[in-house]
Amino acid sequence: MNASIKFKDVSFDYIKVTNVSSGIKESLIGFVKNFGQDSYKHEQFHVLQNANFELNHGDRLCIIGRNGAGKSTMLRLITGIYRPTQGQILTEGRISSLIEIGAGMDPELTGRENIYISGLISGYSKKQLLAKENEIIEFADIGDFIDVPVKYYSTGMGARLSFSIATTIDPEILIVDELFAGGDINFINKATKRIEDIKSDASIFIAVSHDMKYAREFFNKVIYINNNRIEYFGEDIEATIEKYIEDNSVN
Amino acid sequence: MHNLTKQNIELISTLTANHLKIKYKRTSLGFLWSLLNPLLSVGVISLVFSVIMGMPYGEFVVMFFPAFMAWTMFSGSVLGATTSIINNEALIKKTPINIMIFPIVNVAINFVEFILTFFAFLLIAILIGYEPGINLLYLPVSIILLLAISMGVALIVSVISTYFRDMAYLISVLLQLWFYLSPVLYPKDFILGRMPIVDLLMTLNPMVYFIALFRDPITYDKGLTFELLGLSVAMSVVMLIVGNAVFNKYRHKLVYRL
Repeated sequence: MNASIKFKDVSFDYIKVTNVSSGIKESLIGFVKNFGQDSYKHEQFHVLQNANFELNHGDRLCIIGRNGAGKSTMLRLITGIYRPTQGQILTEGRISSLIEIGAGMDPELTGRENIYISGLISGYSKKQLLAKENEIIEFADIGDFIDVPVKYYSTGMGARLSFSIATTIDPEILIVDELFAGGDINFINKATKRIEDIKSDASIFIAVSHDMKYAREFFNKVIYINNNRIEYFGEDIEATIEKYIEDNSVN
Repeated sequence: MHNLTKQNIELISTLTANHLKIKYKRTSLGFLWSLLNPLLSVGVISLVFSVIMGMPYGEFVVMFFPAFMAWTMFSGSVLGATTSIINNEALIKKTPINIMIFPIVNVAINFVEFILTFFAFLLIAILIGYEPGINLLYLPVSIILLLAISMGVALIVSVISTYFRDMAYLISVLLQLWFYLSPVLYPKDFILGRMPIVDLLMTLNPMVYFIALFRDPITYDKGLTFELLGLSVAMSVVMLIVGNAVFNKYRHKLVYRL
């Protein structure tokens, strides 16, 4: 297993959709005039520009930056949900992603049923999931709720199950947006231990974190995104955090 | 569709099964509604239209149900396709999933319901005195062709209605019009020879052929003619290829249109 991720001069433009319609009359005129195109303004928006970095196995990358800086976009580019407008992304290794708690879960189905959906989406086979089902349930530790539809879960329960599905079957590349969101102390401790384990399995771990304590604790590399560019990529986590805090001080 | 992996296919079957499970949850009859719903629809519609058409009830049912089932499978797949991608925005934006799965799951759901009700009907018809002929052996071919054209059209519609959101509503109205223009409530012969324009429509409407694929063996105990088979195979294959090509051209752009 040689997981690696390479960003070569990656830029990504998003189509920003702004509602410019103001009423039924305008909509109708617009519909006829624009031949069925909707009354929204589609604008190119540069989310990420000229991103270059390389990660190899054993790397634990923390992405920091302000809201809207492009952190989640970068995760989506790595996962392959978005494709770069320019440049190239080369990834090797199976990606297990947790872009959002509960993503890929059907709220009407039970936790147990959702293990299969999320797992299959992440690229595991039914056979692998069958073998790991009990282990996933055990780590999630949500008791009887495993057979209750997910819509009755608390935020934390959803987080536990998602995290467990993403991390139980040896991920080669683990991507997590908002580390430990919604988890209680017990869960954070368990998850911390699990991340320690993954660390030693020499895979790649990437997370967005707004908690600088974790940023210092878990990672060996950091990317600071500022104004839609990578302002810093490297191992000097402490200095980067200082800079990030300084850039955003309210006074 | 050649680029579907084994996991993709497992996911399609899981999502299809789940959907059917959820659809009638908390009803006491549960999945049985999948059977009862079309059965009762056919019963009620036949009650009214057998009188209008001046046909005996049983005769009307045997004329109506094969066409109605085929039509429901096709129109259900197309209508479902209009929202198949938009409704799964959350999944598409948050997981690296093969987007083609969603229109396919939608067709699969319609297909499973079609197969179940179709054979339930056949069984009931036989129980109340319908005599099955040897030509029913053509049905597997008819079913595969219907599935292929539904899939092809669904793939195209799913892309178009993600780009143009008005299409979902437009298509649902067009399908209603198409229903009355197709020989579902009436036999084809009933309407032929009245107006040249109607005759032309009966030749150009692709659904006429796909309805014949079912009505000929079931209602008329007739084999599928070479002409009918040739035309419907050609249409299904072309739609499937075009649907695939259109979808593959836009598959990576769809996520930005959500």
